[in-house]
Amino acid sequence: MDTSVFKETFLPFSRMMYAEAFRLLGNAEDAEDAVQDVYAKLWERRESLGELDNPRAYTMAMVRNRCLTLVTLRPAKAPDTVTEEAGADPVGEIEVRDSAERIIGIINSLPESQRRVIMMHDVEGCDNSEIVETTGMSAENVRQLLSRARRFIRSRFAKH
Amino acid sequence: MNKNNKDIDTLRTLIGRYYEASLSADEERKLRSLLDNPSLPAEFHADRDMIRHLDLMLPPEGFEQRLEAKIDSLAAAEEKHSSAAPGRRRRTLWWSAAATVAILVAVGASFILPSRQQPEEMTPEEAYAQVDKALTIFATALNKGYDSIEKAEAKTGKATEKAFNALSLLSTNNDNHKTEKI
Repeated sequence: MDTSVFKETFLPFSRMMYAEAFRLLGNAEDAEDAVQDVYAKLWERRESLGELDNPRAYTMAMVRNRCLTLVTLRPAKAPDTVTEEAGADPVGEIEVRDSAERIIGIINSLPESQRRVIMMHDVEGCDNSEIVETTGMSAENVRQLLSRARRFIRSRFAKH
Repeated sequence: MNKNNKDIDTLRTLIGRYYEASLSADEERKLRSLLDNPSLPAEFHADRDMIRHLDLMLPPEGFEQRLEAKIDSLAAAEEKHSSAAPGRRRRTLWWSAAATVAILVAVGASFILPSRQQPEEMTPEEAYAQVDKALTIFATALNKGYDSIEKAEAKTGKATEKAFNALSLLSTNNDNHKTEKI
């Protein structure tokens, strides 16, 4: 598999991979690192990946495994500590991290089918027809699941 | 109806359809731009916060470009590695050959050097004494060897003599027997 075929095969999953990594790791930097690690692994294995039945499921499994490894390796951090790098905005970082944790918590509490559809539509940027094709659900089912997921998330935000 | 009221009506309609999941991509963009309004009425704050939170999960700017660059760098590194490999293999062979020669030289030297070093460490008198001692040991061993040979020869001679005697006795008995028959 040469570089261009590799890119054509695996780059379309990058947003989905990032979203999953972000959901599991809770911050943008770690999520991007995890995705880059997975692409490096995919590149190493590319000669044996040509006959994959479901490259999407395969890459997602790799992302999840990589994130779990990173979470295991991650040093324990006190809840209120933030990185104190030069030029960093600790307050902004805390706000972003809190916001990320909040939305991740809400999404993770959704039923699996609703979570899958809202992640694909609102995070990965798939349109309804792509979701129908990937999940095998009907267009109406996809719409209903997305609608329920959004209403649920909205209800959680209305409480605060 | 002023523009602000019109925008709020549009917003209300779009929000309703957003939760029904029936907006087109263009309509969603329009909804987001209306929610960015700094004077957004409080009734829409929860909707705005929710959409902004969801957007946190989108990849940061330049994410796809960085990934492509990563893949390109992996491909370039691999190409460089594979083109450097024949030279490296040749160098490895040369190093292996040199190492083999060095080991052989070291092993040979371990056999040769002690016998060369010994005389340098001894005075001529000591060397003479050593040679004398070695020759004495050699002569003793040689004498022992000769003694053994002589003993062996003596034993062999006696055995041979006994064998001849036995044969001649046999032959005499046989002749006597024939004479009696005649």
